[in-house]
Amino acid sequence: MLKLKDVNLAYGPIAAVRKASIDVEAGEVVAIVGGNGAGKSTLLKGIAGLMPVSSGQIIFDGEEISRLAPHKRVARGIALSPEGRQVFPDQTVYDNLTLGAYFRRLSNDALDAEVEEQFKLFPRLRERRDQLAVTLSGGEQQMLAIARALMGKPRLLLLDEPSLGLAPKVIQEIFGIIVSLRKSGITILLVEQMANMALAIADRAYVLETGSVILSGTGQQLLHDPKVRAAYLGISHNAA
Amino acid sequence: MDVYLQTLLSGLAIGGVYALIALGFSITFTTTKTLNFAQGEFIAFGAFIGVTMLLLFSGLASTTTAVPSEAASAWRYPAAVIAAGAVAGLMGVLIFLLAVRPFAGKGGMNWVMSTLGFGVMLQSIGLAVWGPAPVMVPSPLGDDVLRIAGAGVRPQELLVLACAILIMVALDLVMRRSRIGKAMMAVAHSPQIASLMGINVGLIMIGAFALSSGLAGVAGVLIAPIASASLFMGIGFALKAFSAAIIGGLNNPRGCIYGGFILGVLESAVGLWQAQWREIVVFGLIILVLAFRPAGLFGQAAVDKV
Repeated sequence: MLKLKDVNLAYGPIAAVRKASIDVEAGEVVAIVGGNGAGKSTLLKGIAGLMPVSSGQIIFDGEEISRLAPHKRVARGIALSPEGRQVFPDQTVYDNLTLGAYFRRLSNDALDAEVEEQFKLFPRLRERRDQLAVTLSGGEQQMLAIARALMGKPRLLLLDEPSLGLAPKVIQEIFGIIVSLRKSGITILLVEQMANMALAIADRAYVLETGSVILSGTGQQLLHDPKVRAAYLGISHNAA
Repeated sequence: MDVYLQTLLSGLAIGGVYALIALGFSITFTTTKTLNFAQGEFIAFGAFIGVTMLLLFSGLASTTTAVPSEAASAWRYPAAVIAAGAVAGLMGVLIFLLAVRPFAGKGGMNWVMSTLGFGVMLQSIGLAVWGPAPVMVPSPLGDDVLRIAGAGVRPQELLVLACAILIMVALDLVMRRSRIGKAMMAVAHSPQIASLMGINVGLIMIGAFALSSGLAGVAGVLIAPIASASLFMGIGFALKAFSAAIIGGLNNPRGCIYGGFILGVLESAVGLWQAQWREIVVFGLIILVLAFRPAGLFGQAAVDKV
């Protein structure tokens, strides 16, 4: 479904992602793990079109989208729930959700029906329907960001650090939702610093270090890989 | 008593014009983080396009200094207002594409110089087309002074006030209720995140410049029967409107509207007392506001995001 071929991304002269090649098949949950500053978020920005690729190709559904404007990629079926939630603070929960479906030009009734679908998945958002997004808790904002991305009816959902800054209980809740999304058939590319949780639910995963893919495999393989355990799960060989 | 009412009404009328233009500044600033410093020329062009349209629609000829009063009668004046708004809007698209987009979002202040320069070019073109002399423009409601509770009011002042309020209420509703308005708010918050919603951010920015410039054009035709149309009229209005936007808070469209009315009434009130103190008081107030409320009276202080 999504194929990255030798993708380079840079902030001015500073390379952030180097020659990354990544595959995501339809129906998979693929995780990208790695430390702070490894280039994980940059990679998702490149896929969503928020950052121009300096070289390499991004292919979605067999067509190259490397030079496509972000709003056109959304229309093709790629939605990003960005790092740090980035909900529209001065608009209501309902308006945030409808903005997620902006490009689909739905009738008001169809829009309400789809918002209702998201409320079934995220019941806490229903209670906050008419509140400004700025008044939500961090966890609620994260749910809103994911629900807003889902309002675009994406075939590929990019999730950037959904656990960031959240309490463990809320993180469990969010990951539960990701698992249920996978069951509904949506393809997910998940970027996470919480490597253990991400690898546990991922079909396959890539490990990114200083902008380069250094390891890849199934979620379970990587979860039990001694190098990964030492570097990202904080577990040493002996303790394991 | 009546003299105060009279002062209040003319202050509100001129304030309505400031408010329209200030709202225009706010619209481009919130969506593109740039301002159209040729706004003054758009006001003057609006007035002259209005004049040209009045003559065109009526088939009457203008003298060098005045448009005959029959030219503004019936449907012609409203049609001229709409036409001037539309033409100024198109010019707004042009200035965005030529003088703003190449520089927007790249840091630096190149767009300040390029929009100023665009304005200078417009003024020269205007002088070549219409000449430097001010032209008296008739009011569609005539020039007979109305008596309201003893106060003498020019009908055009009431018309300006009514039009300004009508346009601003309509725009406020569109911004808050419609999908396109919410998309504009999204772009104002963050163009990047807005683009993730599938919003064509470039198109919204073009629309913002068209709308802002259209407002300036409309303001030009509205004020022409009071101030006369002149290619040099714009700078004063644009500067006052910019001040109104600063007083109200550039980030807050409603604040800019309040700022326009506050400035208009204040100016009119000080003029009643000592006309030569008008500018000193107005700009003194702006400096005071900036000192104590850097984000404007109605603006929200920028919160640093971690």
